[in-house]
Amino acid sequence: MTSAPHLLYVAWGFPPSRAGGVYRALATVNAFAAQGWRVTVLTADRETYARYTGADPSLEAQVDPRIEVVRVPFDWPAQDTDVRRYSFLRVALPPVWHRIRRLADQIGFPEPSYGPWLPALRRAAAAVHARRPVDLTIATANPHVTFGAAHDLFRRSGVPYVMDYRDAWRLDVFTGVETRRRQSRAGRVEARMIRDAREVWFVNEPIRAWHAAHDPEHAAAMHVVANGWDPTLLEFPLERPDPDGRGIRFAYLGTVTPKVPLAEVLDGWRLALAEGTVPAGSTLTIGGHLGYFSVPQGRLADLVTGAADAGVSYAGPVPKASVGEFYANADVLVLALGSGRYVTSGKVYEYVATGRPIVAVHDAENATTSVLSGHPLVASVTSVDAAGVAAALAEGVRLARSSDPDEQERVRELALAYSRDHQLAPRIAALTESVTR
Amino acid sequence: MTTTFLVFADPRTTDDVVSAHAGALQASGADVEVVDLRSAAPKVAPHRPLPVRAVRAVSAPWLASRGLDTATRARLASAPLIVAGDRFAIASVWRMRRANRAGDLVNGIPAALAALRARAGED
Repeated sequence: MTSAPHLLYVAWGFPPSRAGGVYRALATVNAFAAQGWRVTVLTADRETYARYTGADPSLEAQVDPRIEVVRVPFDWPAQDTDVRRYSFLRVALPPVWHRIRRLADQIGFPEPSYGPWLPALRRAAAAVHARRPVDLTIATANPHVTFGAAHDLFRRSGVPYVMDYRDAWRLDVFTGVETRRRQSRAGRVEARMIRDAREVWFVNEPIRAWHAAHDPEHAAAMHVVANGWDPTLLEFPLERPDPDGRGIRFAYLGTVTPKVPLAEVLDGWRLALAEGTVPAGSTLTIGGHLGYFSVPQGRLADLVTGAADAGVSYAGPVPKASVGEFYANADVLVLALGSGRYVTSGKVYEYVATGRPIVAVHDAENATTSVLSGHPLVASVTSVDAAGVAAALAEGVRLARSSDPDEQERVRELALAYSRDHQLAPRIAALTESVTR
Repeated sequence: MTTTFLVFADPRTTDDVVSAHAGALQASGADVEVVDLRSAAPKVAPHRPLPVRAVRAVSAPWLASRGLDTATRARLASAPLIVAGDRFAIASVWRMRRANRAGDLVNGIPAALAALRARAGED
């Protein structure tokens, strides 16, 4: 092959979407472009993000200008709050409408809400391939309908593809429960797609191991491509502040999903203030979206608002271009995550890169624990409740006031190992060799 | 200030909820007027047989929407923002779609807050 190989990247969320998985998508396409690949991205239209998930316009500037982005319109009726667009059936019999909608969504592909997107994705992928032959497709999920487009291009034109799981399809990563049986329609579709895939990527070893155990014949194609922090989006190393003689500035940055133990964090915060283990004048700033969607989730917003009297403030969504500034104004970072051995965090790598002490509010089984195992400035909770959080916050205060150069150097080395390009490099090298030989 | 009509029609919606939702919109710069149709909807007694409860549950939002008087309807027709504050209120808001062709008709407080933010951005 003499010309640059052509990568087709299929992702529902891509800049300007602000959804968590976007940063992995952005880093992946930029890394391939930097390695000399011609990259075309198939993704949803900008209005989708503005309407449903929220948008961060600053992210679009981070896309390598050599990358072509093809936007495929996406409709999401179940999330529509515009009453003017509601049908009579939806207004008169909402449960019936939702049931019919859910069934109709899955006619072409077994995934509610996203299934109807597959025909448009297929057409767009075929058009890209007809215009300039594609050498490799990478599809990232969820939603898993992106895998359907990659598999379709493979069946029609023999284009090899990579399935990039940021989550799992048949496994609930929070509970560890198998949500769909292998014999189910989704299970059978997934099995076919894994069988034909050149590689299958997972974000952590526990999820990879689960899939390898369920599909041992194809375990050799399964790899861990962990998330990482993005050197292009974060100043490194970040100067460490000296908090002596003042309150400590704690901060949380990330999407506050209903799985995040926000109530426990706030209860623990109040307890630590009352006990005096966190000094008076200390603050806790929460940045990021409240809930998965562009409109803040009411219960989460109420929790944050109700703690305003205790020095808790909500900074709102923080554009990716401003996260460095957000971290620079924090002494200690609070990493609050849902429970589950398969749960991983994209944010933890960024936290490590800041060099700030981390108060880790998650159970020890969480996959993030292994990421932080070599970090010398971590205060982990012994239990995810008010007392556990308060004790960890107190330890966070102590860490913020310590300044051991050896510890700082260990954090720096850990951060370098967790940069996003470091995680992607081996797979890009292997795939480049396989498509160009 | 965006004139905002906040509609409630479910008899189970409490006064506390009504004032909390109205307060949230006021805090976001809305001039809120509550349209209270809760008494116009029949209550669905839990001890009644399932078919009766089902019919009541389906008809209650429409019966509540008939509680809109002519004067209120005329004001809703020119409102820039009408919000369904509870599930039963969706039918009342939806029935205004032809009379009010310019305003935002939205379902839920979060969507109303987003609409208010969008309007503030346009100003």
